[in-house]
Amino acid sequence: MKEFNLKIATPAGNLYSGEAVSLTVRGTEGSLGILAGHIPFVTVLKPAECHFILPDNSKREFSCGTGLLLVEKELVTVLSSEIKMAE
Amino acid sequence: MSANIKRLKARIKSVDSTLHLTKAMQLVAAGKIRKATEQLQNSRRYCEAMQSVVTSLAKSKECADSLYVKGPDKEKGGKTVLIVIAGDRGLAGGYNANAFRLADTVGADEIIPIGRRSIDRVVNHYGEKLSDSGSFPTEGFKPEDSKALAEKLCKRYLAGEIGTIKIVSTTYVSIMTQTAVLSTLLPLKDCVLPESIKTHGKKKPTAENEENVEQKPVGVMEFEPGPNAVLSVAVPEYLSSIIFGLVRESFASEIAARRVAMDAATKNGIVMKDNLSLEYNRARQGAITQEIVEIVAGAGR
Repeated sequence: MKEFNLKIATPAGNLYSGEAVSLTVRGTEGSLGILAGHIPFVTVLKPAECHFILPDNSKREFSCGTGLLLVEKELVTVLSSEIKMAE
Repeated sequence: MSANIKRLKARIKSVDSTLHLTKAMQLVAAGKIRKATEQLQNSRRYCEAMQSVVTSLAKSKECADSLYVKGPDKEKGGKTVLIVIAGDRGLAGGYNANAFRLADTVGADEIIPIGRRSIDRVVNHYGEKLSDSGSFPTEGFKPEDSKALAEKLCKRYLAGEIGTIKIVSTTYVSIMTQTAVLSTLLPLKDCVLPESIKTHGKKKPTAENEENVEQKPVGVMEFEPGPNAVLSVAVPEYLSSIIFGLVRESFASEIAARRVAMDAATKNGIVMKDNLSLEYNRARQGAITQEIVEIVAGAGR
């Protein structure tokens, strides 16, 4: 699968910055998945449990508060001041 | 003579204890600098991303009528709220004084102090203007604090109670230089941010990338469910990230200012101690010589 750059940013720093093959988050209109090559867009995130898949097929989970998802051509950024990565 | 010696001894002792203090503070500041600048970099990245979303939203047609962008009606006015970020402690050269001097030039209706020095100052000088939105220390300032503050401010802004939000912070240029700056956060059309955040945000995309961002009509970037809905969520987050970023930046400035000031103080103290020791030794030797002269003179009689 194609990979894209993912950044999970909080005011205290980036919790993840690297490649991923997919990202699943909860938007205002429902759950949405992001794959490489998605059109650029911005949406509001609702508090939910989210996850992304790494290129080696392992799954990383995180909980996310209210925030924004910013999809650019090369880079997908999850912005929220309340994000906790699962251990 | 012995009175003079006693006085000198006391002076030396007091200079010495001051030296201990300045040296310790310098070491503590030097140790904290690395962590502070690291945190500064981390919060800057978040600020940049947040800013790119909000600036593109603010430019879009759909959002032009939003209260956040155009601000409240002129007639209605609304208060000017000023956030003043200063240090938790003194002994940092002109750091606190510079921020306060700048804050004094703004005719604010309400002041939110961040940093213990700032709180003391506002309570003493502008007691009636102290905001009930809270006051915080700088060092332990958490993202949650800034989020809560930003949400409170946004609520009051939307209710028309607040017209403008300004902030005084200190820009970290280098270890030697820090400058106090005044920025405007809301309304977005008047938004003026410190160069450090702005240039940092613009530099990051590469040359061709930047052109794309600049030339691309904002409409190409899609907003879901709509620009206004995104804006209403983005602004509190944006405000919170900027406040948090500026607090981190001011804290790094404070530490750097303290290190430099304490370094200078330590150097001056050492020179002072050397001069005093010299004077003391001379006086002591003078007293001994005189005693010998007196004994010899007595023996010769």
